[in-house]
Amino acid sequence: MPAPRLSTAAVAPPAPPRAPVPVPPAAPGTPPARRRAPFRSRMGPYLLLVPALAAIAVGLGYPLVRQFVISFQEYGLAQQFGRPAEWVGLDNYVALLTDSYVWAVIARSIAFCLVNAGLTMAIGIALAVLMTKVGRAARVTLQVGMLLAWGTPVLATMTVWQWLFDSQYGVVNWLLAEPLGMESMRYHSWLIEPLSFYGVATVIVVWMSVPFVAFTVYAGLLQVPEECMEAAQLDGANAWQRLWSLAIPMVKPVLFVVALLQVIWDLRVFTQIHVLQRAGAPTRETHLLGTYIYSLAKEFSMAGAMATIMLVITLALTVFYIRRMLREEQL
Amino acid sequence: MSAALVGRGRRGAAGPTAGRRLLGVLAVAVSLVWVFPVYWMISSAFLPTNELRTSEPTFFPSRAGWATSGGCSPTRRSTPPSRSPWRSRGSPWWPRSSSHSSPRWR
Repeated sequence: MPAPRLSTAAVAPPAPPRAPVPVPPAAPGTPPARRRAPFRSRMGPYLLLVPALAAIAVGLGYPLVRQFVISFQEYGLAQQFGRPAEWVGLDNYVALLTDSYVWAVIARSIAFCLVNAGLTMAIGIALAVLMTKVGRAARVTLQVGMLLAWGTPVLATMTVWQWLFDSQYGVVNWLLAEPLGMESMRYHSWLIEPLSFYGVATVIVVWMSVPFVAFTVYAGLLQVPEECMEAAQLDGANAWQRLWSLAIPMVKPVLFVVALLQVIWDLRVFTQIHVLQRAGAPTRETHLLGTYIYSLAKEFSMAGAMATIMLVITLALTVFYIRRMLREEQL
Repeated sequence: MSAALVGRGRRGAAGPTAGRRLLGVLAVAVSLVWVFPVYWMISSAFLPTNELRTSEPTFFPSRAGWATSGGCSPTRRSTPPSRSPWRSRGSPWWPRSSSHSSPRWR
């Protein structure tokens, strides 16, 4: 008999204080019910957190931990077929970090990432400001163009870009040779030299990432209060001063987050580089971190160690931003 | 929308100034540059291979390219192609009737 009453008192959380009032006749059943209700309400939020935490732990935590563990083991083809993996300590890291080629790849990746993130931010902010300055028709045209570039699948755009930069039938070579008169560029191969390979990759990556920056910054600029801009205008600030001293500082948090994302995305760039490499570039001279790890994938242990190194580099590049973001959140 | 930033505050009634019109032209030019690869993807889809692989690129497909968009370029096939790759492998899983003899997306 007391059992069902006890469970109703415990299950009905909307009215926890009132629930015991009709119950008193069953005096022996109430004290445990009252003691359990606060415990349940205390556990409630944590119970609600469990599904999300479980998904993150399974989806993100497990691969990360596994990668970390594997990077301290000998894990090659034999181990993939069932031989138990041996612990080798820091051997993988020592082998990688004493290789000058790895350092070249790291330096290249960081340079590529900074150049791309910087260019993307500069062009994106410029286009966002441009969007606020022009009339409706021009703005909508620009936004539609950006959205088309942003919305096209990466591999489809990579096919088109490859086709545009094709050495024999590419439009870029045709434009340089016919209207611009540079006959030597007629059959120029853009991908064979590492530097021009990275130039093409930069054009593609910037083309793909600028729309996101432009739209986000434009949305931020729309949030700048009109009164502030008008007050500055009345105080005699010209358009340039209003932009640099008022609008840009006000959207600084947005700029920070976008720049952080760009640095992370451009450091781990993979698809664009991989597709361009397969289009006929010397792979070894054009590896960045992402493609280099992929090329190590036969040795899981080496790939794991390299991925861990890359994670450390990413954190080192972004720790400044993250600390600043956390500090601003506390204020 | 912040009118002072947009620059529409007082001049709205007087129409766009020359500077703003110039910026508008710039915006349209930038959007053309941005959209060109997407345009090139679509326009290439309407060209047969022999027109695609020429030293003079075709910027505007002139003939209606619908018939060629399925990959039936005269350089590659002389017979009407069976457009779907799984069709050539024995009998299809669906009943072969007259309504199915030509693909619907032709």
